[in-house]
Amino acid sequence: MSNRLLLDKDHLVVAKPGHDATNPSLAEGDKLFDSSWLFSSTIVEAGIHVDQASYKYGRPPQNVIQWDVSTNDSYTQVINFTPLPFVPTVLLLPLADSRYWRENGAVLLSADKKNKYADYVQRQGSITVTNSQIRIPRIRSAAPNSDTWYFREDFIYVIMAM
Amino acid sequence: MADKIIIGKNGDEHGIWVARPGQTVQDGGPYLMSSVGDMLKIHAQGSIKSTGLNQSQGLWRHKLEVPFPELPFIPLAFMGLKTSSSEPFQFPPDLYNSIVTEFYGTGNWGYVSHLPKIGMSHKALYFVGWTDHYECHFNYTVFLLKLREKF
Repeated sequence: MSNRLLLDKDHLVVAKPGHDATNPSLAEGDKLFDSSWLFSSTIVEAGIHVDQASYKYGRPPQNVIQWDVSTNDSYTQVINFTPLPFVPTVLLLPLADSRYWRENGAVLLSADKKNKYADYVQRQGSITVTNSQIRIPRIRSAAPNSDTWYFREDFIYVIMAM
Repeated sequence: MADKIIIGKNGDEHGIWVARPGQTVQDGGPYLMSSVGDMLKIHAQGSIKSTGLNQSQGLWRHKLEVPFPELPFIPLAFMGLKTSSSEPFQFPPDLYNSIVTEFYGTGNWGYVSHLPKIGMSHKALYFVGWTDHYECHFNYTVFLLKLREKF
């Protein structure tokens, strides 16, 4: 029977079934955890942020999934989380408009708005992270002397302990 | 006292804490492991062969619905198209080529830009993408991490 746990004052190794944690040559892929690692996928918090901004236009008659929906609201979106003693690494994944999720039974991914709209739009500032907030300034139309509008944005967010 | 590993009482809490290399538990987070936090565990992982449905401008369109063991919630998942089963994939995927723009009204206000169903439910992944390969692999990882309640 293999010894799957190595624990002393300064080192903890947990091996996968069938592997010996006390083996100093144990391959990384055969470990579940090693306290020598720099990161072990510890997650502080994860979820979905749904934009509360108004819709500039009504829903189109076609039954299609919109991903670039406009709003007249300009405010910066804020995702709050339990204050940490450090500023975490955050993963933000853009989503298609939340109006379409329930009828499709799924959370829906989005394209990058800059890839399609390029210089016609610009974010009003950098996305920033503190020890308790993610602040996401809105993307707005950039063309001068034109009707000013902004994008609604929904996100998956993952706050990592790193 | 400077501890690399605490199993037991840490301040007012009980649990397991493992500090990052060069740190102690008393230095505070982020921790390498903490029984107070969650970890990114894998629920399902795999690679599915896919063949193109139709071709346009040298690219093949692939469309997939890949089930995984059902969960009571919608999980975080990474997915993408690659040429081999073991090749790392870009996530989030670049869905620019999957955008469709259709005209339904009058003037410029009649255009609607939309995407196919690409995402995750509590029991399946849905993906549509374009690649220059007729045959490719859909590589995915579903994590045991709740994003929201299932619909």
